[in-house]
Amino acid sequence: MIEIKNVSKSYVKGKKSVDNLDLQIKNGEIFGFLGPNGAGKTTTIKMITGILNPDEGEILLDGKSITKSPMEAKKQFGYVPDNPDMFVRLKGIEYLNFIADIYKVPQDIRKDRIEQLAKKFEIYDDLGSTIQSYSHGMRQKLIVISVLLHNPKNWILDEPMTGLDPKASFQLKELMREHTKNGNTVFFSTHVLEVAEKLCDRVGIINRGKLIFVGTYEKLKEQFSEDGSLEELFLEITENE
Amino acid sequence: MNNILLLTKIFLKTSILRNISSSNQQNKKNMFKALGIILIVIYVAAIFGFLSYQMIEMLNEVNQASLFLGLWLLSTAVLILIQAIASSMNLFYFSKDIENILPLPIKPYQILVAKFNVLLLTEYFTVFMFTLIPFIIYGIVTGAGLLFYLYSVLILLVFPIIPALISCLLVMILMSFSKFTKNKDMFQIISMFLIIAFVIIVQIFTQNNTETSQEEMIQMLTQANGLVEMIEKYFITLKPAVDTLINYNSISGIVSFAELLLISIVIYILFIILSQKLYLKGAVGASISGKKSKSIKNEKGIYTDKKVWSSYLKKEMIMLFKNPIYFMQCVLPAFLLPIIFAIVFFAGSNSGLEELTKMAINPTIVFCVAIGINTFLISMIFISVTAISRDGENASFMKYIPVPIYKQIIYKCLPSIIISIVPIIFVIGIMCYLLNYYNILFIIYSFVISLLISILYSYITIIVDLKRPKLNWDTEYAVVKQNFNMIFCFAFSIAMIIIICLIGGVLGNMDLNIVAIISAVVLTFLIYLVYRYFKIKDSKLLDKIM
Ligand SMILES: Nc1ncnc2c1ncn2[C@@H]1O[C@H](COP(=O)(O)OP(=O)(O)OP(=O)(O)O)[C@@H](O)[C@H]1O
Ligand SMILES: [Mg+2]
Repeated sequence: MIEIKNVSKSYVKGKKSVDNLDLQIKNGEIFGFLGPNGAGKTTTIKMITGILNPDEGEILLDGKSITKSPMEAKKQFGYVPDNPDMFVRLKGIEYLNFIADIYKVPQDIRKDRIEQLAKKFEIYDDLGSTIQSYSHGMRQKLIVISVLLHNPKNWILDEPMTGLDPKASFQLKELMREHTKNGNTVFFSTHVLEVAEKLCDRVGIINRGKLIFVGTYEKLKEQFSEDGSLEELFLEITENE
Repeated sequence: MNNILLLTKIFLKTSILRNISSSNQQNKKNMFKALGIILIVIYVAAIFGFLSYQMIEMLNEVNQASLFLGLWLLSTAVLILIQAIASSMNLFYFSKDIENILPLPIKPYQILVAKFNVLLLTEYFTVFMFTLIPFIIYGIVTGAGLLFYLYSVLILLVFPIIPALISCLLVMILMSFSKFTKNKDMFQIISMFLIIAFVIIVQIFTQNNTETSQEEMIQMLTQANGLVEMIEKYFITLKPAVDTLINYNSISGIVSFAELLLISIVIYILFIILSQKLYLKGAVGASISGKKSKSIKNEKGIYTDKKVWSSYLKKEMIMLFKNPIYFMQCVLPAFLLPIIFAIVFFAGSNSGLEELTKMAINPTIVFCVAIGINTFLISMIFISVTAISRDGENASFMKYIPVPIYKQIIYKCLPSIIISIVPIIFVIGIMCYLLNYYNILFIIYSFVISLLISILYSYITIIVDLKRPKLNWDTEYAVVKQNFNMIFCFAFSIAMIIIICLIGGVLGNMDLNIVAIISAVVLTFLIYLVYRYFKIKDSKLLDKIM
């Protein structure tokens, strides 16, 4: 469960990149976070994960405040950043082991998970080479695997589908569904509207830092235009600001 | 033409100016930066000025002052050759901007000319620092007219073109083979080693010459002039350049300068035509590291779990050692400098050593000397001062993992401390050997105090990096080479050495045990203070990182 309580953030004085955002992502829910470029998605995610401090408001992960008790809160989530170029001089396996050590994943569990996930995403045979030699999608897959190692209750992903091939993207969606079935939470940002429609239990739309819609996809369609394509819908919502 | 100018500006911004005319428009900071750079430039220029003054005076006494011009220009050419190899490799091949430029509708020769312009501009900086003052001194000593200075400036603008071109061509030829070797890392390490080997050789040669008399010196300079004359045959712009300066007062001066200009232009054009294909061939391959993908199937014990600190330390070490640029710039000086230090001592004049041996009756002084040398060497390790910056965009990783920030900072301080042990032991060993002074207490005290200084150094310089991180770099080279924070390392070493000298001076007659114990207590206290600072500030330490 992720609770974002009236959070604001500005990089530059007088220009709020996130403006009084109030959101709750419940257990067992896949939540899609939509918005045009520069809307404030990454900024929001960075505040949830503790990379940025909110100017106002509070963020709780399973009831633990990321600012007041950061260590407990940070154990509650796994985060996939928008840029997967992590520590490219390490070998794939070295990176995974490093992350597993940080989250104190026991040896046998780590072995099972790494083998199972790496084979699923078809990068098992590349784990012995440096991340530098990986393609964008392979790096993305590696980061996703590393996040799943300690089986966090909340997944936070910043544009996880970019760069993934259809198969990998399908598998990731499957993993998300499985994860929420067990009562966990998935929060991710995306530009792909189809993903939002088919995968998410609820979506939130943010524009210029302000949340302009939260709810199910059906409600979104109802509230705005009845007919018309997804693109039209999206353009309408974000431009009528 | 417009494209070229535009590209030049872009490359200039991405490679050099980013650091000087920095993006965060704080004028005060920039003022300090500029001031620091100016001070360094003045310092270096003064050293060269002094050196050249001695040479010119000596030669002038025997009416051979003009020999100086050829010698100095030849040295300038060598300097450019070496420097341009290193910087052209980074500029042409390993800077990220080329990947963005290649797809644009820009003709290859335009990229090439623009890149070369940037290279030349950076070379001018060195050339003027190295040569301008010596030439002015030459002018004054020989009582040259105004025209001489005008020609000097013109020549300093034209002369560097060909050495820089030669370096570029060398690099391009080497890089075009990168298709076969495809191992950028290895290649970089080898070429950097060559440069360092050269520096060491020069060091040895100059070291052997310190004790020569004036006549021998002049003889040597004349001999060197023989070398200049020999090289002139191959290095065809050297003679016209020298002749211009010698005959600045007559028509033949103009003729020589015209010759220099013409040769440079012709070769420049030839270079551009020839290297177009060569460059793009190498540039495209440059970002490929040619290893085959390796499976982990047959490896044993890969999943063993480690303590957080040891895993973190291992990761830091891999990132340092597997990256040739970081390795060369941050780690290697720690191993190389003690060797140079040893060469200086063994090959150098014995008089200094004798004096030291005389003083060696006093263990406290020897102790201070050992600590002083170690402090200097420790301050050449640039690991902690770049610990945050080296991570670049990955730095925010520290903020979202469940490991307390202050602990991560300490882990990041460890590599510098561990690596410093090598030069510390080396120096103490050499001191013992040279002075024939095997006092166990001296060895233990020097080691412990040096190590404490190393810890303090690591802690303090990481604070510098935390306060002023440089995270948005486009080449790894920029993290170390264009990083103003290094100044703090030198400041630390200077402050420390001054304190050590004071201790040596004031407490020189005090018992070694007392001096060592007092230093240990003071240093430990300081280290503890910084540690408390880390612990109290904790997550606030990373406020600069987003
Ligand atoms: N480091 C920064 N300094 C100043 N302003 C920033 C910084 N990072 C982001 N911003 C500003 O904050 C706003 C929100 O940016 P953010 O990265 O959150 O957008 P986003 O929704 O993730 O966009 P995208 O879809 O392109 O990823 C933008 O207006 C951007 O200009
Ligand atoms: Mg974003």
